[in-house]
Amino acid sequence: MLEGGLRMMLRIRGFEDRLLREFAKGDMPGFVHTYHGAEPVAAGVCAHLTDDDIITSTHRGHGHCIAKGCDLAAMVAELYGRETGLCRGRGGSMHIADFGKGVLGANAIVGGGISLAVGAALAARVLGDGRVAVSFFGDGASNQGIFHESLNLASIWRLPVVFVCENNGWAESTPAAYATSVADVAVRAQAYNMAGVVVDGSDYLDVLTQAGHAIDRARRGEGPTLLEAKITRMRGHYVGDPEQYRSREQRRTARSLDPVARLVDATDLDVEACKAGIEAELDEAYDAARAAPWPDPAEVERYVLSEDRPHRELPVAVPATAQGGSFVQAVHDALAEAMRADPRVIVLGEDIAGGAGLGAPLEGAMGGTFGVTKGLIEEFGSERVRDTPISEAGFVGAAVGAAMAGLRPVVDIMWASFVPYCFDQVFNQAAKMRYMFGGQAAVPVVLRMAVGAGLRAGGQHSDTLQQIFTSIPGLKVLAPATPATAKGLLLRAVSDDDPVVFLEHMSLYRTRGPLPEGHYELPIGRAAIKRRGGDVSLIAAGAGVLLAIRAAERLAAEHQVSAEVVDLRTLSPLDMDTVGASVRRTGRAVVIDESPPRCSVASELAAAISEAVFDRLRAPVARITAANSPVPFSPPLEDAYLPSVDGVVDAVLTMSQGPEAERTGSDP
Amino acid sequence: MTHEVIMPKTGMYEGSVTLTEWLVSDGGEVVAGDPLFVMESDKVEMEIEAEFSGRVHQEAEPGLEAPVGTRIGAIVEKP
Repeated sequence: MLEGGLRMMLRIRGFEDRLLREFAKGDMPGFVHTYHGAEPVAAGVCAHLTDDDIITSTHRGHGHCIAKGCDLAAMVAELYGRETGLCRGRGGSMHIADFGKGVLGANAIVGGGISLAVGAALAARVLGDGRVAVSFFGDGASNQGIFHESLNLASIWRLPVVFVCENNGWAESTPAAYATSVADVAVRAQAYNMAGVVVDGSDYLDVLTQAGHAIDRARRGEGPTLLEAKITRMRGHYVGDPEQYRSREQRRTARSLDPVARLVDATDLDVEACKAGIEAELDEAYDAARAAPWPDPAEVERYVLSEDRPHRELPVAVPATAQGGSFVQAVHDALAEAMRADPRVIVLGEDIAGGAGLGAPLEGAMGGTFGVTKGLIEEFGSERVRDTPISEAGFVGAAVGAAMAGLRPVVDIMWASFVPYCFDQVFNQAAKMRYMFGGQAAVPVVLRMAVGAGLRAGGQHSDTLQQIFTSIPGLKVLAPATPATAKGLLLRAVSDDDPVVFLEHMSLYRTRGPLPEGHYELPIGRAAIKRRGGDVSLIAAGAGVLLAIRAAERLAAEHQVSAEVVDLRTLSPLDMDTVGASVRRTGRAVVIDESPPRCSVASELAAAISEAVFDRLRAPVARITAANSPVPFSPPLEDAYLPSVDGVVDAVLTMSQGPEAERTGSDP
Repeated sequence: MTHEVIMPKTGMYEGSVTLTEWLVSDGGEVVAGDPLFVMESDKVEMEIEAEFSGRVHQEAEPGLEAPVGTRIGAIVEKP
């Protein structure tokens, strides 16, 4: 037992010692952090895990990967940024992942992996597959909010997860004694009603024993544990760290507190033979990595999104049925259809059932702020329809982790204005995972949220945030305008393998329209012509489409102007084929976008239209956006903030009198 | 056993570095963890510690500017 542990620790140490020497030579890109001094933790914890069990790791994660069984040569190739690396060179030292070994990735956001592990444990729980999730993180991460939200969530749901805090006493150069309110991070477990255990992280047997208890508890369904391993950071924060924050004597002492040497003395293993074997493996690994091909620069955008796949879809035009329904009904029906079709689909968010744990009829009586999810808990139960605490970072992170571990979660974030609270989980986690891990990760999560102003909801309940979402590679962004498109697009979003942001404009919830029954999907990235016209293209999404239609009706009735209305449906990726074809026909474009004007969907479309069809434009592209302000409360101010029919009509009339009037016979 | 002494890459800096000063004389003894030489990268001076104990052989003069990874000496461990 000890010998197996020592073998693993020597393997980790051998890898890191060699890394120190090779990194110094200067041909390895970037920077690296080594695991010196923490070897018993990775070795002792992972000894209890199978390839199916899941871990999340950190920037100091080589030891975790090795203990979980990652191939050393593929790791070294990743450190060199080569195509043969575990993540095809897209991740590097701080983002090594190996999904085949249950390594859901190293995270350079120090607490980033904690909520992902909670999500993986949620997946294990819902799928009932017996997996356990372990999150490794440092003492510094225990001062991030995500740590606290995640522990609370894991505790109330009694998830099979073990939180392993590797406390090396330093957050980069800031001592834990200064930055952490408690001497033992493990006591923080008490606040979350879970077991908190301190182990000597330099003692392999102690780690092995206590980790075994924690992992067994998790497997038996007895909930999470916070396991704090006290370790010594034998080296600097990163390789080459001059460590000005410790004296030479402190550095020397740190390097002498060597847990590997300690175990060597306690066993009969032929250490020299073991080391020689590892060195030989590393000789080959370094030779191979240095000779390996770089990724092809032409593939810089590969792995941002999943490859296109065929899907069940209706033609772009949705057939009207006799039956009509509301936008709320459409979103509800899509969720119910998706959950019936696929047991991996779960929904979670604040108040989505309402009255969680109170039992019928109180539980589920609310069904979300807008009643969208009403009735789902009765049909699908509380395992798959989960009320959450007000912990947006925690539950969005958990949904992302669950998606990476086999579920297809649909998250209700309630209002888009709350997304900044969980922006790391959206931006650094959901959007980047597929890419950073070289295509290994699928992140099939849908983030639903109410957007938009006009309901006198004030500055922190009224944003669309679409200018932010659409600027992020790795996210798909949908903004339906009608019940039929909401249902078809949401069903497509749930079956999509990429993270999808699904924007539901509050002014649309009570609108009604044709609503086809059954399971159908509409394509992502395809716009539709809502109304034909020859003089100008009005381009919009979501509630903007209804505004565009009203403007088109008035232009026709009062000004004899024939306006075409393009319903984008998808804001990212944009369907420039349909937009370009429309503007080519009409020669004029007005883009309607309910977000502030800077770096917005409107500015992107104006630029893209100018690039694509400049020779056909008879007037500059006009942008009708929200004001460049937060959303105001006072009704006259909020009305002035929003795009308006008057604004669109005026823009069209102005551009119709522009330079085009002076041209003669030059119409294409 | 002989170990190369190189001017190491430290952190993210990948350019040239300058050997500023040897802190152990040529032929002198050094203990692992003791400062061995000073180098300057990107206007930052940095003491580099010996990774091994043994006799120091200097192979470069202070003032040498060279890419990180350049060999500047050796440490010969006692058998």
